[in-house]
Order: sequence, then structure tokens, then C-alpha cells
Amino acid sequence: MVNDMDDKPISVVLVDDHALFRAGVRAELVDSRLEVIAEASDVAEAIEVIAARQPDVVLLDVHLPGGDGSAVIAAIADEYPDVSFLALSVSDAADDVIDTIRAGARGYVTKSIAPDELAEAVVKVAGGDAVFSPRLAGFVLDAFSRDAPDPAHPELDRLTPREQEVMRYLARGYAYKEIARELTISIKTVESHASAVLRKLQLTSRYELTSWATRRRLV
Amino acid sequence: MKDLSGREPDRHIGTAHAGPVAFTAATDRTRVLGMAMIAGGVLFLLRWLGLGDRIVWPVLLVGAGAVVAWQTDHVEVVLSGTERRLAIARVAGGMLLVGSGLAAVVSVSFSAARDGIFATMVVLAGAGLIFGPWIWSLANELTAERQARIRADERSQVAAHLHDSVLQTLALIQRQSSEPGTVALARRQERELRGWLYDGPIGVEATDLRSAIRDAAAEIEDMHRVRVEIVVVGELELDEAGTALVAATREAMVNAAKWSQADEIAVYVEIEPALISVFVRDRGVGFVPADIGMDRQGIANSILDRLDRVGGRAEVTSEVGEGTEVRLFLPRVVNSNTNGE
Repeated sequence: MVNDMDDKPISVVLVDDHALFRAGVRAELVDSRLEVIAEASDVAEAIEVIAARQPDVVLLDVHLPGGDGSAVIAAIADEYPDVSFLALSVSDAADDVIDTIRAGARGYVTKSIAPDELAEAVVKVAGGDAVFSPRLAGFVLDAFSRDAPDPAHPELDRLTPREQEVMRYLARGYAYKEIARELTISIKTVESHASAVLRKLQLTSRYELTSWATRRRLV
Repeated sequence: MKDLSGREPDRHIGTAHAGPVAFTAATDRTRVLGMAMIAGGVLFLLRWLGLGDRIVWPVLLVGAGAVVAWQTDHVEVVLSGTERRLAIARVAGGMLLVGSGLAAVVSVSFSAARDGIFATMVVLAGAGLIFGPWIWSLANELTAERQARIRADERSQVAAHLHDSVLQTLALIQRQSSEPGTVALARRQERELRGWLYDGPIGVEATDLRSAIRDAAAEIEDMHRVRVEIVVVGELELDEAGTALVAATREAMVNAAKWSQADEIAVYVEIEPALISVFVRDRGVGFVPADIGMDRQGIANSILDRLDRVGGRAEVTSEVGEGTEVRLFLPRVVNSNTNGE
């Protein structure tokens, strides 16, 4: 978490096996709020670098040599709970993205995201908020609307009408700010709805979530 | 199967049809009849040769066994539980008959050695007849299965490789090239590669809403050099109303591509039991809805007309500097006839 956002920029570690891509993202993340402090190109290097530098946010490619992004999260999350992960991927393979989210990533964005939106997403994740790409929001809507919730954990298996509404706007490409205006609620409220949905996505016992997502190639 | 993921063996790479071809019921019957006639013929032949009942009856048994067992040689790759049990029963029956034949032959006294040898040869030939085709087809089947598996493995390796290399590079080009032509080219290559890896082939007439909108968007990306990001929730087979909705969505996308000056258009489609909603949004220049020019009015009409005919409706909201959103709604015809009066 970021405590002194005004004094200290958010520290970011880039994990991607393409050096050119890292260079590109590094060049784009020119934002006074952010500072890229290190890079890594595979799972082992990522774990080492993140443990050594303990950044606020890790921008994590879903596919890496030597394992997947979720392996990095699994190795880091318990020991360094203050490190947040944002998955950044070209992947259309839903299982990879869902695995990364369920491993503990705070959000998912595609590599086609505009530079300013990427910076904004990093800031959000550093502040503990969730980041949904339109596709991820669409996936959530589809996954949670389909059948009856698990009676053992109905609160994890169902979206509230408000959460559903927020997800719909996200799927339509609206930013939190725009959603707040449309629904005449505060941005903070929109953010807390999104975080609640992320938590449900991570904890729901909808056991076939991943295989189902793969079948529908939704993310 | 419409929704094979890229990880699974893919349909358009060619599914290897496993060896044996299923015989139709008609050829099956013909064959059984043929077998019976041959068995009968052999019987008469043996009688005519002056062989005793001790030989003739075992041969008949073997023949019957062959007829029964022959029917199992078209074991397909997939057999249901009952079919499998039936097949096993048939083979067991065939083997029982052959066994009886053999037993009868063995019981033939050695004084009739000549008959015995002859009978044994007949039995062996029968066994060959019974099991030969079955073993042959089984071997073919295994080979075909192994080939299909190898092909699927190779394909998923290629897919993973393309994903980690080519798609990444195409994403990079789109991010970093300032040349619009290059970006458009990389985008098209990415789309085609994704289509090949994950979806059905492009260029085949779409039969569901998701693919139809994807195809329309692809066309617009090529024509107008914009990105169209599509999110679809739910599934729908295309019918007349669905086709009209796709056409209206296409018009809305063209409209955004032509007028908004935005470089990305977001399309969201939600298919609910009673309603299909489509949102086409851009963050472009927007306009004041009150003073829409004739051109735009014309396009708005072409959207409205298409939807009107199938009972849908459309809304447009726009704000100068904020962008435009076109919303299309198509109520689904709910089949309520069964609910009685």
C-alpha cells in the first residue's frame, strides 16, 4: 500500500519476457506518480527482484518462461502482502487470466490499453482498488448470471444489482469516474463495488469457472 | 462444437477420421445373409465330399460364430455403454461357437486324422475370418487416434509459440508505431491470427451473433483504421431479427468510425432471456444531438429502420468532447403459447 503518495512515487516492477515491450511500457509510464524501479523477464528473476525491491505494484505478464504469472504471485503474496499485482497480457486464453486473478492479482488489462489508462490502472491498484478491463467485466457478468448460486456461499456466488450495474458500465468501456456520474454515486462507492466483485471472483466456489471461461473464450 | 478453445484440437485443422467406416444396417443384413449362404454352401460341399456329421456340425458352429463376430468389426472410436456391452457379448458368443467347434474337432478320433486336420484348418480359417477384420480395424483405430493426438499436441505447441512471440510482437508494433498504416496492418494480422488460434475461420458466414458482430467489426477496422473492442455476454444463434440487429450495430460502428475521430470503439453486447442490448461507444468529439447534420440523420435512420422492422429500438446519447453512445435494444420473442389462456 502507498502511504505517502505525495512524497514518494508508486514503485513499479515490470515483469515481461519481451525486453522491447518492457522498454516500451517503461517509456510510456512517464507519470509523476509512478516510478519503474526494476524489470524481470522470467518467473525466477521476478520472484528474486520483487522480494529484494518490494515494489508497490508489479505489472505482470500472464505468460512467462518458467511458469505463469500466477506462480510469481503464489511465491510472493504470503510473504509480502503489500505488493499488489496487475496482470498485463495479450492473452485470449481465459484460463490464464482467471488463474492470475484468482492467484491474487488486483486487476487485468490488455496490452492494447492506452498509456494514460495504464498509468491510471497502476495508481488504482496501488491504492488497493480493482481494475477491470471491459472483457473481464463481461466475463464476470456472464459467469455470475448463469446458474443458481452455491447455497453454501450465496454471498460469494451472486452479484448485487448495484455490482451488476457497475460491471455493465465497465463492460461498455466506462471509467469509474463516468460510472459515478451516470449512477450519481461517488467514485469511492464505484470503487468499493468493483473491489467487492473482484473479491467474489477470487473466492467464489464456482468450481468450473476456469474451464467454463476457456470454453467461452471470454477473457 | 462452437466453442473449442485454442488449447484443444481444432476442427479446421482436419479431424482424423478413425479407421473403420460404420456399415449401414442394410449392408449389415446383406452381409449376414451372405455369410449364412456361404455357411450353407460349405455344409453341402462337405456332405458331398463324404465327410461325416462330426466334421459338418463343428464347421456349421464355426460359421455361425463367424457371422456373429463379424458384426463387431465396425467398432467405432466412441461406443456408448450399451453398445460396448453388446459388442462384447457378440464377440463372446462368437468365441463360444468357435470353441465348441474346436472341442468337437478335438473329440474326433485319431483314426479320422485326415478329417481332423482338414477340420482344424477350417476352424483356423474361421478364426481368421472372425478376428482378422476386428484386429485390423482396432490397429487402424489406434494409429488414427495416436495421429490425432500428435496433431493436437503439435497444434497447441504452435499456438502457444505464436501467442508468446507473434502476438506479442504485433501488440508491440501497435503500441509503438506512429505510422497509421503499420498499426492497421499489425491490427489486422493480430485479428486474423487470433481468429485462427481461437475462433472459427474468418470468411465463413457467421451463424451466431458473436461471430457476426466480430466479422462486421473486422471489416470496419480495415476500412476506417480504428480499433473495435468487442465484449459479448451470452450466446445467440442468428435469426432474422438477430441479423437485422447485426446490420444496425454495423451502421452504428461505421458511424462512430466516420465521425467520432476516436481511435477506438467499444462494443458491448448482452444477450438476456427477454432482451438483447448493444452499446456502441466512442470517446470521440461527440455532437449536440439537437443539431445533427443530414448525413448523420441519414445514418441514424438507417439504424432505426433496420431495428423498427424487427421490433427493436435505438437511442443515441452524445456530448461534445465526451463522445457518443448508440444503444440498440431488441426484445426477444418469448414463446408464451404454452402458457395456455
